[in-house]
Amino acid sequence: MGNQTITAADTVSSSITGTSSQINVAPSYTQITAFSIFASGPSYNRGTRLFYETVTITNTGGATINGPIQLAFNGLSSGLTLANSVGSSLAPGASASVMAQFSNPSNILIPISITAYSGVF
Amino acid sequence: MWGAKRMRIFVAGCFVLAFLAPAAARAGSVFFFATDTSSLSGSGYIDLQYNANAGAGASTATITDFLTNGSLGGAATISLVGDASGNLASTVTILNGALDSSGYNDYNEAITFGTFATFEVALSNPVGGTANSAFILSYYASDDATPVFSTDLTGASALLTVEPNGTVLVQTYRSASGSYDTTLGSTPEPSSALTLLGGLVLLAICAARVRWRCDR
Repeated sequence: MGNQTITAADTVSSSITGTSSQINVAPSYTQITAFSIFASGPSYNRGTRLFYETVTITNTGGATINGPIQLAFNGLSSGLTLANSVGSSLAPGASASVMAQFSNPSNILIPISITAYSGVF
Repeated sequence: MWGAKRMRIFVAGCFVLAFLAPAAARAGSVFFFATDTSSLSGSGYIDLQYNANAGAGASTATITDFLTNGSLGGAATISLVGDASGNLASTVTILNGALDSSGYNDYNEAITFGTFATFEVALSNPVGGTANSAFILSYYASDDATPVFSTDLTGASALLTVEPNGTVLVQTYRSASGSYDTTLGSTPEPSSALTLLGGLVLLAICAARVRWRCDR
């Protein structure tokens, strides 16, 4: 994000090179504020050795949230990682669920503190 | 003498009392699990978990009355992780780990499959807290890694989500054949049953009063 330049080079004959003028790259996502989260509780699969949790986001605002919706899990400590996160557009009052997968080799309690974003990072 | 409006309010109140019993199951209820295991033969594993998210209140799952026409593997095949203790032949107790920050609390035992397996689970109301916990039943094949009776990523045949206010949400999962091999039932906690009974008695009194007034 911010001011960037793009440099290109011909890797075949090395005869063409170029640099763009400065361009401004703006974020294409916004933080969602009107939402609620429901998490089912963690379930461990002995085969995959991952914890799974169904996380449901509900649009509690008055306007449609445009997708894709990204859920960012806050406060994941070292060793605890989130394996996936996706979402789609949500009308007011509508809900969508995603199966979150966690690698949690230390078997710590998983914090469900979530920031939601509309758009692409 | 009661006016018509006062009588309507009284009757409406009786209906409210009659239906005070919660529509959703609640912690404190006893949940009856029944799994049709007839599609499998040989041995595998039964797996029971009770896991909390960070911030959940402390709660206990007590598993009793396990019954199968197969057989359990016995003490030598029992694996305990976190806050799980006991054995299925008598009683298994699994704490959700909220007290000691144990995120994985698991009871695992070998089982030779018959045609059914049943047991009961009593979940205590969470003490405080703001996050959910989950009680999970899974069955695994003889490698103790391949879920059977479930095609869900979790490997679960059934999952109970216990909310901070004691509400319990029930979810069962399809097996590879497309059928739901595990079914659940619940009996309300004594206080809920008494509330329902009290409401029904009041409703009966209301009906009798209305009939008496109409007859006069």
